[in-house]
Amino acid sequence: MPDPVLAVRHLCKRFDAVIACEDVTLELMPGEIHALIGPNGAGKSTLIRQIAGNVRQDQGQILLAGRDISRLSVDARARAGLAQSFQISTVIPNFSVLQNVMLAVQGKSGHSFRFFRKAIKQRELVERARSYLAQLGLTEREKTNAAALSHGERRKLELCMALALEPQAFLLDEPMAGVGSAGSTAMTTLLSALKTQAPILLVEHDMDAVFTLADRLSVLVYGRIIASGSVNEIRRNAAVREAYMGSDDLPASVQRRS
Amino acid sequence: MMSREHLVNAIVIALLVLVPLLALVLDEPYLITLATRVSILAMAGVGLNLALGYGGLVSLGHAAFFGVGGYVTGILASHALNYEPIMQTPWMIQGSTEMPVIWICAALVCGVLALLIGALSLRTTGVYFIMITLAFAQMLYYFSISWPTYGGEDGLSVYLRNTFPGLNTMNGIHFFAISFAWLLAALWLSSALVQSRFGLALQAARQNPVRVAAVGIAPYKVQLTAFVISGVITGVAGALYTDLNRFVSPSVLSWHTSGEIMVFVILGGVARLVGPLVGAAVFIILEQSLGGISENWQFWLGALLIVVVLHARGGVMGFLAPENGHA
Amino acid sequence: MSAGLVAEQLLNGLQFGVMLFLMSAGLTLVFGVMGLINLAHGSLYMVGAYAAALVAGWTGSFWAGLAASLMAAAIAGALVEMVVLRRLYRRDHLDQVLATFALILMFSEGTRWLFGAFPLYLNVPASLSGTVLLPMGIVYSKYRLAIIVCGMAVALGLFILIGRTRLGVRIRAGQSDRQMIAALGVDIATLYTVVFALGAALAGLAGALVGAIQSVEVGMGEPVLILAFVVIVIGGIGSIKGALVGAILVGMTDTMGRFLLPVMFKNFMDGATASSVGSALASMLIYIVMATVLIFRPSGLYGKPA
Repeated sequence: MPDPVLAVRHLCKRFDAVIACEDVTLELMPGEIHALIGPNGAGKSTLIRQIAGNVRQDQGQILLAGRDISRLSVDARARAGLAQSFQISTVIPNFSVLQNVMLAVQGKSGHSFRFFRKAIKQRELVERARSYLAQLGLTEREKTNAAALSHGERRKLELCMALALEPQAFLLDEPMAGVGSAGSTAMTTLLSALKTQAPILLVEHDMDAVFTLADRLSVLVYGRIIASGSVNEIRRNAAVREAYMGSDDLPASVQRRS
Repeated sequence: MMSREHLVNAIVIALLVLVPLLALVLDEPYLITLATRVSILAMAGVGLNLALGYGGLVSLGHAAFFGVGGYVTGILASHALNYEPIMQTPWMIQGSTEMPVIWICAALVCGVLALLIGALSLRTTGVYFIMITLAFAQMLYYFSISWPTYGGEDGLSVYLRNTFPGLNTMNGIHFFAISFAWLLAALWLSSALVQSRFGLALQAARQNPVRVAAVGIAPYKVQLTAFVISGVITGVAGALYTDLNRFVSPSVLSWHTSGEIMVFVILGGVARLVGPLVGAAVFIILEQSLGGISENWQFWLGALLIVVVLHARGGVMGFLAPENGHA
Repeated sequence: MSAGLVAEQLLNGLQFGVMLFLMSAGLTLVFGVMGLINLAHGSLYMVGAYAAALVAGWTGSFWAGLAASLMAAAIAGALVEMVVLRRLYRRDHLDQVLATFALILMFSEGTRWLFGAFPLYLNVPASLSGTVLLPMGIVYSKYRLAIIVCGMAVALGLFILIGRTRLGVRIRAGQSDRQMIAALGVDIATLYTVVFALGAALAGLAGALVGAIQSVEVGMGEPVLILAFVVIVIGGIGSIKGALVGAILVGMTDTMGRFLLPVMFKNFMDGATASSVGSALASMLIYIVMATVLIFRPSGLYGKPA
C-alpha cells in the first residue's frame, strides 16, 4: 500500500466543555476523494480547520507527505501543499478574477516580497494564472470584479485559487453549498477532474454528490469517527444509520438538512 | 492614452511646482515656504496612505514617526553645532549637519521604531490597533516632554538649516526643490509598491487576511513590512519638517499631528496616489484663507471634515477623478 | 520614606483610577453597544468641567455646578449623537475616527471662542476642603477622598444599572446582538441616544470633579481621553468590569511610578539625573503595561477574543 498523502493522528480539540474532536485518525491516500460526512455540529469544519491550521489542535499530529505540519501556521501549511476552500466562499472581493488567481500563484511561488516590478507586467505570473482560469472555464471572466461574480462562479474561482497552489492535497469544505442542482452536477464533474491533480478531503452535505464522487467515506459524530470505509460499507453500517436518527434512507435524510 | 486619474495627478503635481516658481518671479517668499510645507506634509501623508489606504492599517500614531524623524534632525544638528559628540563609549558618534547623513539616520531610526510598534500593534486588529498605535505615539510624546536633555517641553532650535552638497538650503527655492524631490520619490515608491506583487498581497490582506494566509502568504509579514516602509517615509518627512522650521518640539509627536496626517489622507482621498498631496494642499489653503477670516478657523475645518465624512467619502480625488476599480 | 507618604500616594493612585473609570465607562459602553470609537469623549469631559466652573461661579454653589456638569455633558452628548454620530455606526472605524477628531476641533475651538483662552477655576466646596484623619494616622485630602467615594458609588450604580434593570438588559442585548434588540421591539435610536448621553454625563462628572483640582481649560480632556483608551484596551473593549480593573491599574501604575521611580533611581545615580530619568520612564510606564498585557491577551483582560 502506498503512503498516505495526508495523515491525521489522534487529533483532539475541545472548546471549554464542548468536545469538537476526539482522537480522530484518518488518512488521505493518493488519487482518492475521501469524504467526511456527519450530522451538523459533528465537528467536520473544526477538523478541516485544524488540518488547515486555522484552529490549533490540543493534541495529535498532522502529517503531509510524511512531514509533521501540526505546528505550522496557515500560510506555511499552504506553501507546504495544502489548498483549502471555505464553507462560506471567500475571495478577494475588490480584485479582478485574474488578480485573485495571481495572488495564489504568487503565494505558491513564495515571492510576495518583490517591491518594484508591476505584478501585471510579470508574464510568468499572469500566464500561469490564466492557464488555471482556462482549466476551470473562467477565462472570459478574468477582468470581472470578484464581488460581481455569481455564487457558482465564486465557488469556481475559489477552486481555481486552490488549484493554482499546485497542492499535494485539497481540503474542500462544502464546495456544493448554495450552487443549486445544475451547479452541483457541474461541480461534481469539476471535482472528479480536480482529483487527478491531487487527492481531496471533502466535507459535503449533498449526499448524491458524495456517493457519486467519494472513493472512501468517514462518518464523524460528536467529534469521533464512528465508521470509515467504502461507499457500500458505509451504506450497510448500522452505527451510521443510528447516528442519522434511525433513518433507512441515508441520503434523503441528510439532504433535508442542507 | 492617459486616464483621467493620471491627468489629474499630473496637473496636481505641476501646480505644486508652478506656485513656488511664480512666487519666485513675484518675489513672494512666503508662498515658497507654504509650497514647501505642502510637499513635506504631503510626503508624511503618502507614508500613512500606504499603511492606512492600501493596507487598511488605521494608524492613529504616525506622529511617532514624523516626530522622531524630526528629533533625529534636531539632535544630530544640535550636537554638531555645539561640537559635542552624541556618545563616546563604546563608539564615538558625532552629530551631523549633512542632510543626507541625517536622512539616513532618520530612516533607520524610524524603521526600527516602526518595526517595534508594528510588531506589537499588528497582533491586534480594528479599534485595538487604532488605540495602540495612538498610545505608542503618546508614550513618545510624554517622553519628549519629560526628557530635559533636548529641551523638554520647550523644544530644540536648529539655528541653521542643515546642508546639502551643491545647494544653499537657506534659500527657499533650493529647500523647496529638496522637499519636492523627496515627495516625488515617495510618490514613485508608493505607486511602484502598490502595483507590485507586494502591493497585490498587501491590498488582498486588507480585504481578506484569512484568504491570503490560505494561499500561502503570511498577512502579518506583509502588513508589518508595509507599516515599516510607511513609518520610514513619514519619518523622513518629519526630518525635513524640522529643517523647514529650524525647530522641533514635542508638538510634532502629539496626537494632533497624527490626526492631521490622517486628515490629509482622507480629505484628499484614501488609497489614491496623490490623495495625500491634494489633502495637504487643501488643508494649507484652508488654514491660510480661513485663518485670515477667523482666529477659530479650526472650528470651521472641523465642520468641513464632518461634511466630507458624511457626504463626500472619496475625498477631493473622489470628486476630481471618480474611481473605476483600481488595481 | 514614611508610611504616611506611601499611603497618600496609594490613595492618589486610587483617586486617579476612579476618575479614569468615569471616563472609560462611557467610552467602553458606547463602543460595546454601538460599535463607535469616539475620540470626542474628552470634549464631553471638558464640557462638564466648563459647565461646573461657570455655574458654580454664577451661583456660588459647587453642587449646582456639579449638577450642571452632568446636565450639560449629557445634553451635549445627546445632541452630538443625534446630529452626527448616529450616521456613523455602520461606517468603518476610519470614518468614525475622522469625524470624532473633527468634533474635537469644533468643541475645542468653539469653547475657546466662547470663553477665551484663559483657564477657569472651580473651588472645592467648604464642606470638603481641608484634610481628614484616616485610620492608622493617615492624613488625606477630604475632597480627593470624596472623589474616590463618589467614583466607587457610580461604579456600583453602573453595575446595578447594567446587571439589574430593564435598560441594562437592553444594553447587554445590544452588546451581543444588534439585530435582536430590534426584533424585541426596542426603539434602538432612543436606546443609543440614552446610552450615549449616560456615557457623556459620566465624562462630564469626571471633568467637574477634576476641575476643582486642576484648572479648567481647552484641551484638558485630551490627555485623559488617551489614558481612557489605554484603560479600555487593557480591560478589553466593551467590558465595564475591564474598564474598572484597567482604570485602577492605570491610575495606580502611573501615580506610583511617578512617585517611586525617581526615588529608586537615586540609589544608583545622582539626584538630578535620577529624577529626570525616573520621571521620563514613569511617563512611559502605563504604555509599557499596556504593551505587556497585549502580548499575552491581544483583546485585553476581559475582552472577547477577536
